Amino acid sequence: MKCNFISNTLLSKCVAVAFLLGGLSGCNSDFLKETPLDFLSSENTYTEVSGIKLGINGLHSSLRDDLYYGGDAIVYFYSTMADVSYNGENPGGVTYDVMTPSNSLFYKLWNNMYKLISRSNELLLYIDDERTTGWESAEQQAAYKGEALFFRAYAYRLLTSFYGDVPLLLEAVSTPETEYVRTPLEKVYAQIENDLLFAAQHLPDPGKEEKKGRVTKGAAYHLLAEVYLQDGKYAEAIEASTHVINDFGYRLMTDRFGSTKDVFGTGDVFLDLFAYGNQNLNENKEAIWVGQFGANLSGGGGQNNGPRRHGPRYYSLGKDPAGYACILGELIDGKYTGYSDTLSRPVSWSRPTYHVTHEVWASDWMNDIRNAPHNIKRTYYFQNPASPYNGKVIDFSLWGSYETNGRNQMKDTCNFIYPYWIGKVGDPCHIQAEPLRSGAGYTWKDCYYMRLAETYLNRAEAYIQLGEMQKAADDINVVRSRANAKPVAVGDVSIDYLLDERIRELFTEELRDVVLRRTGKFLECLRKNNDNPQAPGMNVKDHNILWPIPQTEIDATGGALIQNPGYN
Amino acid sequence: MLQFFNVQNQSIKCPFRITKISFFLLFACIVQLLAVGTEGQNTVIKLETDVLSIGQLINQIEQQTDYLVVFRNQEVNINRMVALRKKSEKIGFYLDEAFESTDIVYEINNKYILLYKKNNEAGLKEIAQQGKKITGVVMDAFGPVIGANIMEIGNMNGVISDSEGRFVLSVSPGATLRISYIGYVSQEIKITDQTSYTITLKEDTETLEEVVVVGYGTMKKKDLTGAVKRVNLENSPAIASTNLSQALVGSTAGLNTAQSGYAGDNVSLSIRGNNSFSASQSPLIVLDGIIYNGSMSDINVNDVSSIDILKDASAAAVYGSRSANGVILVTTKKGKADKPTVSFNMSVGTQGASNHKAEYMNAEEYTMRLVDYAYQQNLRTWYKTNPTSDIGRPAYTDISSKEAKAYYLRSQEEKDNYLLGSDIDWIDKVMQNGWTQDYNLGVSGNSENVNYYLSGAYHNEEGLLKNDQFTRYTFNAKVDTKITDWLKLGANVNYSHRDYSGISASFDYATKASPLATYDFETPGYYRTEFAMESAMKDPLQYLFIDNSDLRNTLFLTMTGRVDVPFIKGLSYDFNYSTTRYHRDNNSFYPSDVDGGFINNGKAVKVPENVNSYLFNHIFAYQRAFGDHSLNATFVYTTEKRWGDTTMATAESFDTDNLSYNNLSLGTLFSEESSAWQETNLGLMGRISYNYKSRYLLTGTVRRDGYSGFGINNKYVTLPSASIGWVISEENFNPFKDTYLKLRLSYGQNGNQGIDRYVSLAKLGIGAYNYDDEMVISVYPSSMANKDLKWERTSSWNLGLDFGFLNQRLTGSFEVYKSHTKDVLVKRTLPNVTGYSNVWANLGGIDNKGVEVELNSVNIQNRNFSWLSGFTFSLNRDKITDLYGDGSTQDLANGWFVGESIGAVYSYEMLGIWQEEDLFSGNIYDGWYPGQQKFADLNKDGKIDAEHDRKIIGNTNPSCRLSFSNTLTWKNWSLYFILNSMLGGGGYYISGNGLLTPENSSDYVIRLNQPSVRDYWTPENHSNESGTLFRNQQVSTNIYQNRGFARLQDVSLMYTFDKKLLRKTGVLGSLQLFLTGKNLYTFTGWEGWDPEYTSFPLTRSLQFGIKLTL
Repeated sequence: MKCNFISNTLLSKCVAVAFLLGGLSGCNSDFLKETPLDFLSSENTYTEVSGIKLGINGLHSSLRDDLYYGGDAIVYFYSTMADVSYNGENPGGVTYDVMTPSNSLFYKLWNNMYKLISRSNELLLYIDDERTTGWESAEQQAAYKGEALFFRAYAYRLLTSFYGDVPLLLEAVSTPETEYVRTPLEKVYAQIENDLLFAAQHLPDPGKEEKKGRVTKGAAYHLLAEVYLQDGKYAEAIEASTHVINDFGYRLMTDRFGSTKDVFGTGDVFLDLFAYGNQNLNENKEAIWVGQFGANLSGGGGQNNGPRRHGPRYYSLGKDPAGYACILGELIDGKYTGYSDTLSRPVSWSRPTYHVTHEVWASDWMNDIRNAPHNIKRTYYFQNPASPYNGKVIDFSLWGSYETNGRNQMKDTCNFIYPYWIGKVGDPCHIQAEPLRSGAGYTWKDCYYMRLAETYLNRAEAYIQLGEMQKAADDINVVRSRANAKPVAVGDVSIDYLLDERIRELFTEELRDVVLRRTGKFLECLRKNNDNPQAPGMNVKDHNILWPIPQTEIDATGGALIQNPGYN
Repeated sequence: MLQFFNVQNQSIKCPFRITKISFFLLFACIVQLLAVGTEGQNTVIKLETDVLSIGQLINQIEQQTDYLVVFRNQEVNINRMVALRKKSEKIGFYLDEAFESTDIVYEINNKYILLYKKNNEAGLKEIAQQGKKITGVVMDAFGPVIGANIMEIGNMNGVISDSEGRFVLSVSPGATLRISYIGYVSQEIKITDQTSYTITLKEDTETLEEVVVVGYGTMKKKDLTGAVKRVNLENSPAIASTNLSQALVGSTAGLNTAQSGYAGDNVSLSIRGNNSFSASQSPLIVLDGIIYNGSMSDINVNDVSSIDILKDASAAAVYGSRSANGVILVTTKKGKADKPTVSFNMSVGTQGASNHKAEYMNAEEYTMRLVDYAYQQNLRTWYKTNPTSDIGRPAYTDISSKEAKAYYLRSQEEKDNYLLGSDIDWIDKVMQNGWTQDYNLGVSGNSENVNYYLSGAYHNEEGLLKNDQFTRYTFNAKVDTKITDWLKLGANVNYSHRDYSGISASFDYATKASPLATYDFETPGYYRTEFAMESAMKDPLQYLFIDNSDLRNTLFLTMTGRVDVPFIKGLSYDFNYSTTRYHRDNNSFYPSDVDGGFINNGKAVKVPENVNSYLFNHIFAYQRAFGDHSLNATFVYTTEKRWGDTTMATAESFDTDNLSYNNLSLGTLFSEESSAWQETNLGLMGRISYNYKSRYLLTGTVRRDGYSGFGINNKYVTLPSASIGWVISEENFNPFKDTYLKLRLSYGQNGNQGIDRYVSLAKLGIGAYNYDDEMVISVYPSSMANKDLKWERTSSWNLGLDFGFLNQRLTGSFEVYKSHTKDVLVKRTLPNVTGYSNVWANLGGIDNKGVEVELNSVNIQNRNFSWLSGFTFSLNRDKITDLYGDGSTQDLANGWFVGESIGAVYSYEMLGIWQEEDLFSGNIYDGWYPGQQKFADLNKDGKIDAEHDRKIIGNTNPSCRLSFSNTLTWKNWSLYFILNSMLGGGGYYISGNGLLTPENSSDYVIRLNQPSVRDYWTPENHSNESGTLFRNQQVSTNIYQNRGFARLQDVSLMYTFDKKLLRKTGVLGSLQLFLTGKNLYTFTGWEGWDPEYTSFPLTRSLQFGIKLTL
């Protein structure tokens, strides 16, 4: 600072005196220097590998929360906008009727994937910067670059699926800009594919990753295959999937493993796959990439609300025909909570469609272990020692006819009782928090982001697209045979069959919307299979195949972003 | 006691000395009464004491008889004490005794008594004969004014009112008297045939001689060139304000206030219009000359003498960078009298909710909403078949039995309670009528070399919600000493202890809770976690069981020194140092069955927080008068630093609750967080004021400021200002002798640093992840840097007119202003594509213009009755002139448009509600159904979409603000009230009112209770104003409503005891009882909670109080 704004007058003499008395120089700019005391910035953190590691952790953390946490958790909520489920508590509530550019319910994917992209870009800037210190080797540097590129690709893959052309940003934004336009799809795909090829080349082999949960070559190839499927490059998809299947020692688990408790008295390997604590095990060769959850880790453990969302609201059943509460729940401190520890506290926001609960199983109901009662709970029991119905199966016919019993059939069957994927989503007996509400519907069970069974089905999909039905059938049968299901005949293989197989194997795991879109079956399956009693086919309209770009985003770009057709 | 020219007005003393004795000596001292005939000498008077001064004797004679006593005060020593032998005697007897062995003789006429040196009576008699004796009493709003000056204009004849406010004066026929007293508006009265007068003086808020605080110095109000408003609290009617900011509501044109209804909350303040898009709008608070960083609620209202509000740029310019939103200068009390004055005030009262209450659904409505919701879903399915008449409409649900309705309830708990007929009004259950109490004790005094003020106060109030309570102790010690002729030292210690302990009942959950919950209100200690197995419906009363202690201590310490430089006349140096130490301890323990402690079996949280600051001011002032010229130059160098830190330590999972939050190691799960910060300011200011004959006034100011929070490239700003004043009424050509007129014009620049520290820097947010249950820290970029972030700068013009008409019976001011703000600090919305949602930037410009009027009048003034009124009016209009400097005319994301107000509401225009007839006739838009909001289709394409159908539908700012206050005095009674209003109309002052229609979210409408302010739409109830339950609209908005209101803001009724009566007690100096009410009644069209706060009622209070001095 220069203090010469007042000329040499009496006042300026006063200035001199003031400085003297103040013991501080007014011209000393150090006095106004701003030193952050309690936060980091990329300039002082990403300049070393130790800081870049923190940034990589940040990518993992934000993706996990985007996919599994919150009312708009991408994996769970978005599947209710597809053919596999609907909101059982309020079926007419969220349907395609309310999918408008200004409904913030549908903003998460756009906003959060771009955050992921920005965070990856910021890291890439420093990983590529030669001034960054601390690399153990050039391989490590390339591997980290591959991991950041992998996350960016993951985000763009989802964005292209839901929105089509999207702005392609490959560098961190450091000055306020607002005019962003949509980049043609081909260009975005080309970028994603390149990035993933780099990642697949430089990421560590499975087992060599620095920590369980970090990304490996296998994950990169798996994702690459999915991008190729979306891009219509089926041969490349087959090649990428084949790398996963052949190169890294993955195999489907066929024997029981881990430390599963068979709480329902029976069990099988499919139950083991999804049992608490079994996903990260070295012996689990089926896991390609696992989302990490941890109970009792403040801030770091995440929260998976799968049980809450998928389970039925059994505790609202009310009274049994004899006038006793149907289910008393756990006895804690001398009081019944109303909740059962095995069922937790679900709210039925993702009630599977009839197609999912029944139709896909019809051909092989008894053999397919994936339909075993410990994996899909279909039978519920009265639990109230005072009642004559105690221990009996809950059957709504016990109350008599709906004409006269005052009950509401839709509530009973969509909201209160329906088949529940308890083995996969549920977390019986791992009440880690809120004992009074049986865990409140949350679990800290690790989740498969990618599992080898899906890789087989992805490759089968590519073979079908190329008309190589035998190879497709072979891949599908790898999955089916592990499940003790009858092999599919080549003649029965089709995209529709594949989509049903995906339901059998991957319901609650897969990003159903993405699969339906890339197979061109989105509208058809939705209209055929989603039997939402208030909104058949979820009231989907043709233009809903792509989602609307958030209005806030169009507003923020001053209209430079063009809305998808049908939304204005 | 009779005194002689103990004139307080310095300007009168001077000419008095130089004038020749001859004529005006006569007026020196006078008093008298009507003639009593020739036996005047024999008139008997009684004395209370037999030892008294000549002056007292004369006083007694004049009071008990009709005589006027006339003498020259050079001749008669009125202070001479005499001992008289009797307590009841004739006048002659006393006069003989009193002047025995002196050279004074007396002469008793039938109208007057002359006292003179022998042979020196010449002229005295003529004066006495001409004189007309009048009597009078000087009052103010609270009672007699002691020591007021009563002067005859044109000569030096005068007297001072006695302890009862009375005076007697002999005046020439047709004379005009000027009655004046420091702190009051001077008044002139014309003497007519009447011989007795009551004069009610009005307080000094508009006194021209009054000294006003202007920042780094003071100025006489008459010499001001900027827009400064003084609010005098010391002499104002008793209003039991719990908070200093409350005392300002409605007081000043251009001061915008917004009240809240929570105990211990501040009224939020802003001055004039919106200068900024996103930066802070709060004015700067300066306490006794020092920038005050604490909370307004730390300051004890009873310690405050006056508040000066700097409104225009030139006035505020001395605080340069901090002043764009105006400056509020708080001056605390000082000692006044030689003898220590002890004052004691107290008030006790009760407070409850203001008159507006929003209704929520009762048990029946709550149940029927679920029946209706289900039916309306079926109806919607039918609507989708595009029916053309009501044939085929689904039959309404069979609800012939209670059981049938009960089935729709979502839990067994509610079903059972519905059948039992229970119905809980949760709003009623969480609210209370609270008590307030306030005690203040002060001692002050002023001797030749020491001025001191000590006070202690206790305040306690219970808010509107159960367990919302606030206790405050404040201690204030202020000492100013004069060490030598050239050195003064002072210190001020202000300590406040605020206790906000206890978590109040949750108002939010009360609005959501089921009226059909199972609850036991009888058993103490009973509470639940949530109702009806609905996690979003928590027990609003459970929070009372959280063990919480929230203590906030603030120590504000100031040291001042002043050197009057001996060798340069008029030059002085002031040094101020002040420091603030704020510490807060907020500790909570959440038992395992209370929301918050539920998840992990009990939770204890300790949050200690420290905020510190220091400030140095060096003030050099040079003040000289050269003949008609007067010059005042000030130079200031100031530095300030503020820093603080917070730690949050949490322990969860407790096996025993015994030790509450005091021993965290009893928990088994831990987490910690901490933060720290610092920021600095540096400023240089120069100001020169010049005036010629107090008629032409000129002030110029330059300030250069630096703030650490700005970008590294732009830490500093230089802000100049200048203003001129012209006292028109001082000009010779002014024909109206009894008017006062001053014209002011100012131009200046102010800066705004109203952004938080560190916002110009890029930050990494911190989170965590785990790999195989091993926790790791994660970071991610969370904010974008802006190295060029700089000051927001406002340039403004202000034209002001101060006036006083009819001998100052009507006074006031009129202000017009216009300002332009550039480099506006904006939290600019970014597309999420960038990875960020916003960044602080300097963008665009905003214009503000406005008018302010203040009027004060003395409407009626009689012996026993007076009526004074005050009126304020303010109007402000703002307009965005530029957004991003790139020619863009709109920012849709923020709803900002060039040419429009920042408060513009950009939305869909709601025309009403779609009805079934619209559907049947095919007039309805595709995808829209009866019961949904009907919006204007601006582009007539049969669709409602964001791109084409939004427009500006109104403005959230008020159109104007008005207040009207009155003080009525009748004998010892005095009544004060103020009506305050903020008006809408013409689209102004609108707000979305969430209470007018049920929740649009289909999820919450069935899960939570809903407002029942208006009935929702059904096919039978064709409401055009409220939507239906199952709305599921493609596009939905709140229903906008005008918030305009007029409020009976404060009422105060006071009784002031007679001083004469009090004197008999020998202890009390003054005693006043008062009853005051706040927010007593609100007139408004707004539905639901109070229009000012909208989401919560305001506090309506009634208090009884006592003010006394010893």
